[in-house]
Amino acid sequence: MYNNFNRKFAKDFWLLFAAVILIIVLSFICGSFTPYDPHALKTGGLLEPPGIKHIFGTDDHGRDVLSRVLAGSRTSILSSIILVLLSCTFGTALGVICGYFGGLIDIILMRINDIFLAFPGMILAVAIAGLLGGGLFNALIAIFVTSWTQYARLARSQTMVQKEEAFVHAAKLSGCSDINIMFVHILPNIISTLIVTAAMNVSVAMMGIAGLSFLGFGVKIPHAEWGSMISEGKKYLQTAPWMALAPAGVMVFVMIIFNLFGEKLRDILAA
Amino acid sequence: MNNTAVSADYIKTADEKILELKNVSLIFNEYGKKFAALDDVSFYLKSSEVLGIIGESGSGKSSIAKVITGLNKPSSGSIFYMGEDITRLKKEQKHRLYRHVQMVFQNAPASFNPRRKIGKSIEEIICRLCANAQGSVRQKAEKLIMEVGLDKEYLNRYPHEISGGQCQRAAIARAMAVSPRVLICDESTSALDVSVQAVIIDLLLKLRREKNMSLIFISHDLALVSSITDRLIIMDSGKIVESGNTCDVVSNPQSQYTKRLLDAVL
Repeated sequence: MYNNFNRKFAKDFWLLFAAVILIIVLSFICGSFTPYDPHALKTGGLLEPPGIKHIFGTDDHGRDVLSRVLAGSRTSILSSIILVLLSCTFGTALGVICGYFGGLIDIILMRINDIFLAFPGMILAVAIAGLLGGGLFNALIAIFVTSWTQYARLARSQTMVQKEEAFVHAAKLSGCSDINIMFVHILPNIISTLIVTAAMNVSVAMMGIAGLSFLGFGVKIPHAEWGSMISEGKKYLQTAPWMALAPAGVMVFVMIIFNLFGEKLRDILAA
Repeated sequence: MNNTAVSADYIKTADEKILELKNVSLIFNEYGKKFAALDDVSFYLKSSEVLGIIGESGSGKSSIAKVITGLNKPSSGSIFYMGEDITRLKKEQKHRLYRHVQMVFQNAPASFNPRRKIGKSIEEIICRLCANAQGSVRQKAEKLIMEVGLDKEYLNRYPHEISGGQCQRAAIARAMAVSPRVLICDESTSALDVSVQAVIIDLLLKLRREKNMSLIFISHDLALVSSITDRLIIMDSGKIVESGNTCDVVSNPQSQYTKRLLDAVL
């Protein structure tokens, strides 16, 4: 029975892992192979409802919504993953250094961390994006500034526990340098928690980028991005709801897959 | 501490003080309250001697091991290794010290990185501290693991895949990689059952004879320690309450605390 449970557990995980990989690969490929030009404006066929010709309908400029959703997937998914990778790497490195060395370096870096944590993340991101101006790169910077903090906190607390372990003392007596102890001995023992947090945060980052684009601080139209597409579609919610619902539905679906994957990963690593 | 003092290959006589602690205190500050883990501790260790440190949990035994190996910095006092002050060493100087002073931890499985195979941990100390390792690093690790009575196949196992006793042997093999002049055994047998304890003690004494090293044996087990040590130090609340030749301390204890310890054993 235990083996059956484990097999099912592993099967679910690999299914979700395959789904995540498929989504990433598709978002990369499909952005270049859309049924229609996602940016070409047309004079006819505006706000066509979903049908055989246009599965997700057309928008107010006659563009195929499916093509724009596919084109936007590259921006939304890949930029979310890049953002999570960057903030996780930066936050983890900083947290491990603070947790390991402690003292003044820890006090200074963690107070900076506290300053960022004191503000609601999205509000701070909007403020930073507003200062930097629109565009995907600036939106990524704005969200990065607010998202590295949790990884730093998590890595710091885990490092503080690990550095008192006997194997770290033994590594010191083996002549290992501080860098070696931090990143070869401690990091592999705390990385699973950080990977799970990062996997769960892909959807949060996706929501953040889409949120900024929705508010006009992220990707600028006519470039396709799910948040900006929802923003464009909100004007036609009553007459052409597919304009907003198609990107929103796909985004929710992708976020659920990433969240389920993160949860399963947590279960696997905790087992 | 200079290079020559520690790396020099000169032979000391059996009565030479190889390690000495002078008025060492270790004070922790927890939430504004000061707590002395070590309070004005002074003792020495002679070359090729087996010194036992006895005390209850929290008496400061492990703190002594940590201040000697530099894992904790003493709040005051000085520590000398072969006449050189090693109290506040820089990183690279500590690495030179670790070629001469090694430690075997109480919880052997926890003293190995759980994500690494035993062999990798032993190879690491060989690579980092044994400058003139003869043959390949792997061969040296295999020789070490076989010296402690384990098959070389154990090098390919993770700490959780072997027993506590086997792990303790592997920990001894790791410490012996540098052929230390001083080996500190911090309650190295307390987590083991009696039969395995005897095997580990025999192994340590055999290695001590073969390698001519000094041994500091830290334990709360007075009966065990008194049977293998030349001298005894009895600790209570961070202080040395009694010290002397093992026979004298056991047969004619001076402090009330030692008497109570002996009464508890007998």
